[in-house]
Amino acid sequence: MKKILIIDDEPGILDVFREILQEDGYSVITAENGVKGLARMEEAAFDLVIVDRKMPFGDGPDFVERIRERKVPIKILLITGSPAEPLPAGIDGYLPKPCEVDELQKMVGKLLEC
Amino acid sequence: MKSRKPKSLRGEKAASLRSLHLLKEQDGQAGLEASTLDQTEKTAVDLPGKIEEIENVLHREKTVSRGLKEVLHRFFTVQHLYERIGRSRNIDEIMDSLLSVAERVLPFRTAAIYLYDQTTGELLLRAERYLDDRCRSIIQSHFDEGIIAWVMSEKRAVIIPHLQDLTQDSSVPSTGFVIVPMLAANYKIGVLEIWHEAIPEIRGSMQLEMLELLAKQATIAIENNQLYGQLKHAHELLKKSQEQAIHAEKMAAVGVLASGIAHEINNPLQVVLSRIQLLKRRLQEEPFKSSLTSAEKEALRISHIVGSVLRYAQNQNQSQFQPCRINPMVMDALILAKAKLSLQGIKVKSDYAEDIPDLLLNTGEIEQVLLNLLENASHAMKSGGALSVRTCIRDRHVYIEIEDTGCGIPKEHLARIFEPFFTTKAPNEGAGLGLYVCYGIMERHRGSIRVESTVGVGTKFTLQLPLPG
Repeated sequence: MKKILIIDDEPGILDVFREILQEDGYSVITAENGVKGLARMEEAAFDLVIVDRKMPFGDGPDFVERIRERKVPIKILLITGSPAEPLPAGIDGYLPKPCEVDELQKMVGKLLEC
Repeated sequence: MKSRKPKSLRGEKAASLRSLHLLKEQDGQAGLEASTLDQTEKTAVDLPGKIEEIENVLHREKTVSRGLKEVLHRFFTVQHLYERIGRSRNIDEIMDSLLSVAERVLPFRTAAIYLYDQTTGELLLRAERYLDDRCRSIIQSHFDEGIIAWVMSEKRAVIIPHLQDLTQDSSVPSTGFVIVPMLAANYKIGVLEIWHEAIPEIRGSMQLEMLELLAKQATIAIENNQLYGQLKHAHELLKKSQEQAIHAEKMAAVGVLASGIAHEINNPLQVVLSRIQLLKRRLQEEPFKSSLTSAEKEALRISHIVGSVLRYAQNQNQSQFQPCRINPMVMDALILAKAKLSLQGIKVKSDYAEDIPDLLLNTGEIEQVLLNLLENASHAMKSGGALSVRTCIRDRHVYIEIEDTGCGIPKEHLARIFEPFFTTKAPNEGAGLGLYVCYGIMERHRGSIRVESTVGVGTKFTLQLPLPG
């Protein structure tokens, strides 16, 4: 079973995304910020991390930079509420907020099939 | 003529004095006082001379006084005319004053003023009195034969006899042109051409000098007018750049604000939309399905509005030209304006041409134009109406048409609506810069903005943008 880590400071998003992706058969773990997300990654290996761009205590670009520094073989999907801002290097895909359920499922499926 | 009168006066007075002398001899006193008589005789003989002398002086003084009066009268006339030219507000008024004044100084057959086009250097007719085709062609010959260039180098009024008269009559030609140069300090303004019937009489006359003076005064007035125009233009530019700077500052702040708000709205909106879509999958039966479909539609609408606000704010801060798609931009502008339009009961119809290639645009500026026109349309349809928005391609140009069924624009306002500070709105509703700014934006894009309007029927604005290549 593919494992996904979702990092977002919005509990409602964590809940609904977990629900959607669990229905699709993924194992989902959540974290409320980048620092906690890194801690989860110490505990287990993930195939994909879905990370919000703007968060307190370790935002998305900062998290992406740390992951890539560690050369962890993981796909990164950035979700952002400010789509026009430049995207950080090192991500595998991005979705603007709000994205539709279909879009999320397709994007996750695409990133995990490779 | 004038010298005869004193001569005859002198004769009469001398005769009467001689008679008086004879009477004295007849009363028997002659020779009694010979020396006294001699003296008296002598005095009597000199008196006519003295009188004559005094009369001559008086006459000379009268003539001088008359001349002085005439000069003074002319001086005051010139002074009055000077003031009239100096007070004239625009070039046409200055030209008109100069011709009227010149006609009073020197009643002419024809007069024309030609001014140099300061960019092409071409002399163009600006004002005239009684100018017919014949005069026009003679004046043209002055241009062609380099006479004007010569007059300009002479820097004084020059009389050019009309050569045709020379051939008809071997005597001195009576008609001809007086060409008065109009020279500013560093450049040529133009010429005043006057066709006069009695050229020999005005040679070296005071009238000629007065014409030169008047032309000089008109030149100064034109120069001042041009300087005033330049100053006004510079002032407008300064004001515009100040407004742009303020606008840019404001939009930068709006951009930051909009980005923050968009982020704050998008987070809960993500939850709402995802929850609705999940529920919709689970609840396929009615009435849940249609209710959730409606909720989903509205949530997506919020998403579009937030997206449009965000793009608009970001585009306002984008000062560079970049490839962009016209139709989505028009749709975005409509989304932003839709709330106001539907509140006023305005029905919107849109028709977008397919296959419009990407255009190199400053998206923020073009969005500003579109929003401005949509705002004007909603202002014109306060009690409802219909708004049509169309895009199309014709003759290597993309056209965006925004047509309303509003109150329309009166003919007298139509020619002025792109002027700065022209507005028919109440003072707190607009400064009259909206369409002026739109005009400038379209010019910067090598495009144009046109307006057609009929009072009571509606108004159509057409934006034209060139296709790339």
